[in-house]
Amino acid sequence: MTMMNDDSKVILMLCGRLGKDTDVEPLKQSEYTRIVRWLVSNQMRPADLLEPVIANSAAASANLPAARLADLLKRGVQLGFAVESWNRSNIWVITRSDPDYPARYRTHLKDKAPPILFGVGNRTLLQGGGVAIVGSRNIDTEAEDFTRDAAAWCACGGLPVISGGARGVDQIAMKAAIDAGGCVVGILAENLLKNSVSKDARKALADERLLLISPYHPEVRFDVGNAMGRNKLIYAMADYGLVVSSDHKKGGTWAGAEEELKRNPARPVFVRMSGTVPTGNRKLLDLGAVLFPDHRRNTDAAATLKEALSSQPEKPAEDLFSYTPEALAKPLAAPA
Amino acid sequence: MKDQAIAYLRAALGQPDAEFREGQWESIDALLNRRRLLVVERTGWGKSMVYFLATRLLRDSGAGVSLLISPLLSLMRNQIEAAARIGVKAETINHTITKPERARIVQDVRAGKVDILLVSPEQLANTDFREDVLSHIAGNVGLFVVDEAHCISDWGHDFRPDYRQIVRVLQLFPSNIPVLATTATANDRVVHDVMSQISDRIELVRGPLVRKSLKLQNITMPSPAARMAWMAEVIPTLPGTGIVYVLTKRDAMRVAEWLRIAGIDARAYHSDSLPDPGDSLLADALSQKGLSLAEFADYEAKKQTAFFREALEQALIEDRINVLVSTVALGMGFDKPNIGFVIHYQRPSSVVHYYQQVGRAGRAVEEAYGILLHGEEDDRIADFFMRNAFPPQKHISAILDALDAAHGGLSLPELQSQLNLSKGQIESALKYLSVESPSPVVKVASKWNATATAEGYAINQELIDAITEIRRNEQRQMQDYMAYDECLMEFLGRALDDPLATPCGKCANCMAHPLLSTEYDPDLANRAAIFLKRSYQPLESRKMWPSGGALPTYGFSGRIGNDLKAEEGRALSLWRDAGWGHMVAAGKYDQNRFNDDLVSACVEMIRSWGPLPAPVWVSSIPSLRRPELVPEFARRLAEALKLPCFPDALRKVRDTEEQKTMQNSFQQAHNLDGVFELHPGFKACGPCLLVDDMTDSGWTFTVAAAVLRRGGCQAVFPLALALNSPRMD
Repeated sequence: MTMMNDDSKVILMLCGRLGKDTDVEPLKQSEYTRIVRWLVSNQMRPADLLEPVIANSAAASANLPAARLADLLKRGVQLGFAVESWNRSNIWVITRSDPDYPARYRTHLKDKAPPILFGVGNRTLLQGGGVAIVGSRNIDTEAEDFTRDAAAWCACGGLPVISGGARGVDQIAMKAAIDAGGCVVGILAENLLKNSVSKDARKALADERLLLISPYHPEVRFDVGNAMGRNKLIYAMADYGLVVSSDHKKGGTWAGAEEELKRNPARPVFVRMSGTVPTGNRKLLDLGAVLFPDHRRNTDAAATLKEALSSQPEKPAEDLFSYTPEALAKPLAAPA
Repeated sequence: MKDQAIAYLRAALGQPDAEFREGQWESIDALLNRRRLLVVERTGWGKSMVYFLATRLLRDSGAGVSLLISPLLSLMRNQIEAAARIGVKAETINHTITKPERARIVQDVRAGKVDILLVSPEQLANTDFREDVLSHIAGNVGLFVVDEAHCISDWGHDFRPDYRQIVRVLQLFPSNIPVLATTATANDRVVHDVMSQISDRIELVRGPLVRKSLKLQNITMPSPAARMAWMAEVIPTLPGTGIVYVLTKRDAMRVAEWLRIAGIDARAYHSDSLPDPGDSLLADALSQKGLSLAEFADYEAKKQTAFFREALEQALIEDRINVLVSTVALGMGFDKPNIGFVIHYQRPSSVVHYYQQVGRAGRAVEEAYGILLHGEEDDRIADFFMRNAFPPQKHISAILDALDAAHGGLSLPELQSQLNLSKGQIESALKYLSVESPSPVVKVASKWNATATAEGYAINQELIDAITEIRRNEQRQMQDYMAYDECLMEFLGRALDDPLATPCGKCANCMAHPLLSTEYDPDLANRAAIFLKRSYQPLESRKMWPSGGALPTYGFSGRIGNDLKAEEGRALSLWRDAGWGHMVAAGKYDQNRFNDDLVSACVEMIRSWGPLPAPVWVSSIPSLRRPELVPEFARRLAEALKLPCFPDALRKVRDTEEQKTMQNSFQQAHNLDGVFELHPGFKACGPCLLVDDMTDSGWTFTVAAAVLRRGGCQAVFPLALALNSPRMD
């Protein structure tokens, strides 16, 4: 668990929040992307930045102050203490250069794939798949029942359930899938540590049927920006999205679904239309979401969802470029 | 670079023609090239010079502060001065410094004014330290030094939990951080273990260990009184100042007191050392630091201890006292070049310990003595330490079950109220668990939580058995050493895998006659025996009721006010200890009566104690199990004191679990809730002497005294025949 290569250590020093020191600001994702482009174009790896001369050239070409990069790379001791303490708390850290880093994030999110992920639980679940079940915090009992049913149906059909761990739909879906014997990936925006020691989580983690991950510091508190930022990670981890209930043009569920439906290519997003549903659900159909099939008729969840999609009008073709060095090496528009 | 380094070396030492010792420059050079290094060299070789010079040269090239992890309380004054001569500013952060002082140091570090920072391993594990200090400075550390690196090894002779964490931290450093690990004592197995744990790229610098001026002798002397008599006679004839090593804190205090009676200026040094009121050493140390006695009294106990320990070390270094009587607590890194003798009152647990301790003598003097005394209690104490080295699985299971059942975790006081385990047992189990990785417990804010790892967690019994077996072998090796009839120094050198070990020509075996007499004066031994019997134990009064509502019937909570508090009491003896202790045990369990010798011993103790305001009546703690045993003794004692006795002043209204089975404050106090009632005719009265046979936590006395005080008794002085010592029973 503590084995970590120098590439990962460098990525953590550059992008991670490791302690309280605010003298030097970790790289934003867009800044880090510029460094990566330079490394790729020079056929280098992040660990090469441990050499001060190389770090200076990287900074210059990425239009970053050399001193800032140098200061970030002096944080090796801080890195050691931070990661050791996370590991002791059962939290592991992976970076984009690790072999277990979710391939789905690389291909689906490209340079928006978070450089660092914190996780607790079964790492093999990082390969993802299954259904991302999302929705509002405050829902009626009809929506609650639907959520429970749909999650259990996925679990029984062998599909992982992916969700965000928030109150309401997220938590109900995760609990129902676990109770039905399924596997769950929770992608959290806040307090990974505290969530991982809750009684329900502990049992499922010990059974290796739960994985909790977060791109944010394990003890960070709730923050709207973080919650919005991790929505795409929920969809990207799954094969399909399922929106149980969404407000129209407000709230995280709407924002996340809209963001996903506009992505090219987007994950297919199903929406619940049974019973009384909020306006947002109907409006998502207009943006390209698909009616969730009546799942009780068929226990083969994967086949049922595939069939429901194939009866939909044709979508634009798959993107030709995945996140490869070649793709990155192409000249891109200069950052704003 | 080497020329620059030599110039700094000469400046630091103040010797214009100084040269590097073998290995010193090579070590510095490796660090400048950001390599990793284990340096195994005897104390006095100049390890500190390696990290001072490396720090100076790294700082010259723009590197951040050096972080030195060491169990030392502080750097020795002469080391700080040497560092200062080359502009290396050293600071120490430990639990003795005040908050403003700590803030000032952090500020100085961040402003680049500090070059090397010494931090204890315990601090690194402390949450406050991590948040308030480490997180502000770890962002720019140029050199990482781990002192006493043998502690990293599971197989080492004093494995410390905090070092398990340090080694994992080290493994996570990227390759641009230079790392220096140092130790003075380690055999091949430990050296290899430490190296493999730190990194596969670590290099080794190792020098010879043997100390040339040290003269060794072993003496078997079973009775403690005989050894005390021998020391009282011999120590004044030995050169210079020295150290007496003992195995327990109690022995440290007792032997130091005895030596003082014998006219030798001795002090006890152990992990909880506190000054006697009015100790001139304390006054000196306080005035040196510009502190008042009142400020010192305001420190929490841990901080008082650390302050006083530093004062004791300094006093020995400056030859202001003759002898420190110390447990293993004085050891690591303590460097006084002219120690004339090290005497072991009891046999240490391994050759490595012994060598490390006896090696404090004779660093820069022509002759020095290392005398190992061997007594009847040695094996018993060694077994005790071995048995208690790790928390038992049943404590661990109890704690994990409680945490598992709780929502949102439990604080330490909450654990105490739920579990019948002592605070120390809970703390040591939590310490053990929390340095596991992944750990079955994690502290979130002030609460301990179970993690997913807690499910089905079991302590690694195989590892513990393997370590215990090693400890037994080490003990056997010490027994072999005691019986060895050839060169003693060579035996030690071989046991430590020193390839250069040869006969020393100086020890008692090489000389073929004792260096020091093995006789002792029987009269002095008799006096020592009487002294041992007379180890009256002060019984401190409790100041706080346990938190969490342990005594709802009485309504006692919070601070124990002066209107309810017991006065300081006395115990005649230690349970089952040499002296009166045996007689008390026999009276309680064999004869069902405490004999008249104990009455006169108590009378004599009260005379020397002189409680004020003097008690005017005697009472006793009631018991339903043995209703007559203590009252009958109290009556005889009262008669001898010519005071009235009212054993019925307190009645016990219900049966309770035996107090000695209660393991922590909450449980001990809670077990007594509503148990004592005043006699209906009880009226306001003068001071009382309250008698019991045994006391342990003191809660029985505390609760009974509060009930008597509330009924109008002016003062209550507890008197117990024996103080149970949980450590040794």
